[in-house]
Amino acid sequence: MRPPDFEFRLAGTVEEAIAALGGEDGTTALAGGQSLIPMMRFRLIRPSVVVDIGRIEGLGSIGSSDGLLEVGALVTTARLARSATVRSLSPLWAETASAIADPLVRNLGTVGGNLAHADPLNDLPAALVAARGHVTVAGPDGTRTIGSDDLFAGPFETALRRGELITGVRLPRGSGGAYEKMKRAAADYGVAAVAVQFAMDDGGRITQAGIAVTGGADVAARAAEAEDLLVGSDPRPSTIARAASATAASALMVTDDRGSARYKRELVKALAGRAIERAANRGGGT
Amino acid sequence: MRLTVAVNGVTHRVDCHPSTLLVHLLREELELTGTHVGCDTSSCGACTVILDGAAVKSCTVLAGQADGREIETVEGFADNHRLSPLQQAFADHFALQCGFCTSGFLMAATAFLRQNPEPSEAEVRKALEGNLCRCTGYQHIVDAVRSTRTPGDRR
Amino acid sequence: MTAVGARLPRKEDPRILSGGGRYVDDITVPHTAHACFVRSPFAHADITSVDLRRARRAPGVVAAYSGPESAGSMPLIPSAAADDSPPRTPLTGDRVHYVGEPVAMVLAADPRSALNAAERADVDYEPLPHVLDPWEALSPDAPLVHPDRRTNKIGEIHKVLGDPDGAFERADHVVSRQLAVQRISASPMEPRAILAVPEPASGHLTVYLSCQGPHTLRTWLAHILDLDESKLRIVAPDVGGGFGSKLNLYSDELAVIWAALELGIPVKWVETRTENFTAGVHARDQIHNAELALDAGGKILALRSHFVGDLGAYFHFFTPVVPDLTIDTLTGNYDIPSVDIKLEKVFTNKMSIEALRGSGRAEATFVLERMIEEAARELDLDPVEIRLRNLVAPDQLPYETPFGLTYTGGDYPALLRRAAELVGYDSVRAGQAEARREGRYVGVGFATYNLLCGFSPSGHDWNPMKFFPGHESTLIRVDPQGKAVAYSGLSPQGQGSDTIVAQIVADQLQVPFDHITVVHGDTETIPFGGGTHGSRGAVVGGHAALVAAQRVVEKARQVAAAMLEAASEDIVFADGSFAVAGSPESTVSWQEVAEEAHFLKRCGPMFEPGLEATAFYDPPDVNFAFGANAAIVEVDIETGKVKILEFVSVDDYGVGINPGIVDGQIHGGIAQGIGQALYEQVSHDEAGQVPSASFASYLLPSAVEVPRLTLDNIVSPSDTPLGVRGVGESGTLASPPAIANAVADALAPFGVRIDRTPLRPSVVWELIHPE
Repeated sequence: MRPPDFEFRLAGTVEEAIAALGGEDGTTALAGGQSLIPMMRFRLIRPSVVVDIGRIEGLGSIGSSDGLLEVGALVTTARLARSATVRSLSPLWAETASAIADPLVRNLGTVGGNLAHADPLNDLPAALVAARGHVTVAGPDGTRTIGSDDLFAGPFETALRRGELITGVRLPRGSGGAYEKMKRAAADYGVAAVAVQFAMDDGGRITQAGIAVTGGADVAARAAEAEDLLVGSDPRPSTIARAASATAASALMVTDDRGSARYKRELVKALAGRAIERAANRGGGT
Repeated sequence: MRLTVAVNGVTHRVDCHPSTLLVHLLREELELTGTHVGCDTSSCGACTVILDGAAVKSCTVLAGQADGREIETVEGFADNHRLSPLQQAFADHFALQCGFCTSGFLMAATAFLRQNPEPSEAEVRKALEGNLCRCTGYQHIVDAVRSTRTPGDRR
Repeated sequence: MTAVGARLPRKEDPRILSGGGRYVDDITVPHTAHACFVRSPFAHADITSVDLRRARRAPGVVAAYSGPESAGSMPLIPSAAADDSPPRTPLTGDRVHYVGEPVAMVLAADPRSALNAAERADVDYEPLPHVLDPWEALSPDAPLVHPDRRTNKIGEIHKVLGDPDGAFERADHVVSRQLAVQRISASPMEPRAILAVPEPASGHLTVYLSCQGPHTLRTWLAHILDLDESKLRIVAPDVGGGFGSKLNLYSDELAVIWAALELGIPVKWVETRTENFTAGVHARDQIHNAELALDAGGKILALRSHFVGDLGAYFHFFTPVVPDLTIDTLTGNYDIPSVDIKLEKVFTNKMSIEALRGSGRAEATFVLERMIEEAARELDLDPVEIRLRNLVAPDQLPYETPFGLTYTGGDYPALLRRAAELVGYDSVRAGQAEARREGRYVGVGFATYNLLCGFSPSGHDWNPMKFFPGHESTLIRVDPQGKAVAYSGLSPQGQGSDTIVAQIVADQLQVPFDHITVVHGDTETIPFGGGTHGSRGAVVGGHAALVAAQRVVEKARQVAAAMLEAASEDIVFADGSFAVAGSPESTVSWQEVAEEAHFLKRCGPMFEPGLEATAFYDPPDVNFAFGANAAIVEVDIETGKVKILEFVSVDDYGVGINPGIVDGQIHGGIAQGIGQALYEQVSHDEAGQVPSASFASYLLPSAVEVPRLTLDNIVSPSDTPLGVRGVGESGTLASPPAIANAVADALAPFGVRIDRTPLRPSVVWELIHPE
């Protein structure tokens, strides 16, 4: 299969990208292309103009400041998975990155693209929500930040306005994170996954909790009840089990070729339990 | 659109349609048919090439994204009659049968071994999870990769 | 040292490894038009209108055809296996019968233009009621796939042999289960591809086709299109896997050839993966209602299975006979005296069923080995012990099955015992109990197989096909240097038969392996051929090479006799040279003989010049291979995911010609069996759409899913000159039931019944947690 015809434009700077993306209808941004190109091959989307933002300089760095991990939008998911900085400042994000697709896809897929595509089966959205991160966005009206709870409007829909692109991600640092994903086989896009991020006090008590689910009807559904349940507690098995159940209850899972909604809810419960336990062990370890 | 790619060390200036995929640029414009197309979903890896040092699926790269970049394909390794060490290991271990997926495995494994010359079996299997083979059951491929320390450079 | 038995490198590898493979899409011919198909989006519908005007006006378009517009000018495609094939044309007439059926075809200057233009074809449909479930298809009020047949039932075969009714009455135990083997896809890594190159001035036509047997398809093509076979050349270049799916001449391939002849220009078509999953043939898809009668000691008295084979909408090549192979192989290696087997075959609104590596026999093995496992559980017998009590013992050989098959070799209990030993069966139970205390569910499963293969003797029941030779040919032509080219009728898709043919020929000619070149896959150079399928490469094709090589040696002996002025019966051929018996000093080398055979400088015209021979080998009987598999799995009861911890295969493939190739065949077969057991499924939704039409949802196993496989063998040479048995399909038979049995064992505490595959996580979880 081959993509339909389109016009290809290269944006060398953020400003050029903003100008191009704000142009005619049917203009779409291409970063790594790992989600976009397959959809174009199936002709599920037919952009009239494809703006290659993948070569914009300055969007490919990984760094930290003010207790935040800062990741440029064009950092590939392979680099994200390998980065020592990411591994130490956000094990959740490193782990999530290494769960994305396969090593070849990760070599091109980008952080910004994985988020902006807003596929309910993409992995980074849940990691963003669990970490309570922000994306920085540049657009015709300047730059702004969007919190994780406001970024995803629905499947394949984000709060990005016409002409806007994600330039980076800012994440609170925290060792207490984990991502548990269920794939049926390597080529599977995934059935469900759970991202967990904790902040813990010296006594091993959870002071902040972030939990989000991949693979439901919503993109990166936040499990607010489970979070509330965990904050202030120390993660004993009974607490973890209750939080896992609450996570499953909050995710809207749908029956499809990958399994029934009933199965997927129980799967989310199992994955949540495992992710919470690992995140707590990591968080308590610092 | 006009673009320039360096394939196996040779610079090519090509004129192609903007919707051209890198794999079709290689196969149809440059007549390098060792890179194959096996699926529509970026799943099988038969089209794997090395782009600026990283193994990627060339069916999921637009030709324009490759403009100005360096590409290594399976044709770039054997020097006259001498196979690269990894290619020779594939032959020695019976790591191919129909051969259609083979160039993809060679490219993915070459890029991987350059970073990890002494991988465990589990690491090799994980590194190859983006490549599908229907013939071999993978065991001989894994053995060939594990027997090779330096996969070989472009000739 | 002989070449046969040695781990010699494959002939084709250096070329393919350096990017020099030549698959159909790699072959280009100037001024080729590229085809793209418009396919049915409905499982069953009337085509109410087709309008190709917009498509024809699209940039680069050469021509566009539709079935309704071309009615009458397109040929009917018969089945090779039945005379009453439902009418099928390259592009369907006024009705579609499955999702993916070709309706129209657009030809353009390049593939991109063809695809863009095909999107502009306007086809209107009036959906009709469809039927997808085979039992429902048999009910009197089911929608009819082919209304003029007045029933969806294709036929019925019922074999009652021995005294099954008496056995079931006498039995101490009767075990009854419904077992299903799902629909799967061959999924060769190279999708189908064709390039048809006509020469209008001469009437010649060359077709480059990704296929498994060019001669068979040449005869069929000539028959369908009323062409002279002498003007028709079919080339199977490098073929990227077939596994049974490329024995066909498909509708869309015929449309390409038909259009090339209509237009008098080359036409190429390369299938997409999505098309391969919908318009490429499917396989398996049987549901068995099986019963086993046993005495108190666990001895099987009779097997009954009444089963249905869902064949899809049309007859392709083997379609109507594929499930027949299940019947006679349902008793496997076991001594089961009485059987009652009934098969009903039905049409449904799906793509056709065809041969796929292990076809018919894989379904039989799954049903038999699952039933024996269930019997062991009900009788509280050890799964190895119940098998040992029922396997045909070496002292029972030759053993005739109720179906009249005669087993002459092998030690089936020994194969199973070795598998049990290698999988560490003695310690498995302790480990299993230990794991369960930790909340981990580990299970062990066994299965044995008997591979009926080497198809097949001409005129034998196993070959009901028209224009489908059971024999195989080889032409060996020695050049003046004494080196040889073998033209083999085998048409491999990765099986490595060039290498094994070279090994066989090298030994006979007493020349180095490197002196033999093997050519295959071209009707212009190969005498004739049955092609590569059904584990027949070594068994049938190997013997054709052997006999041809022996004939060449006989001719060389005559030349040597003339050169040595002796009678040919006094000539001894040893160590690569000919000598007169009793006078070892008067010798001529193989090379000298080869030169003399061509130039006659020393002897003059004492023999017919040239050094070559052709052999057609028709096997005297089918062939059997056998073995036993053992698997240890762990089931994650929370997610339903199954992980294979150990997998052992002990095989008897007779004499192995090349250990590297043989092991590779077994590995590949087991990987496909693992796919069938745990991952792969062609699924249809209620509308008859195929949501599994990509690798992302079909789930071909990767290097992560397939574990390290432990192989061993116990060799009993077959009653053939080479002593070989088939091996290509061996791995596919016992692996699915061995894994399913292991999952059943792991989940025994939950009382779970494994009655179908694939055991995907959701399926396993639902079994553990019923609503």
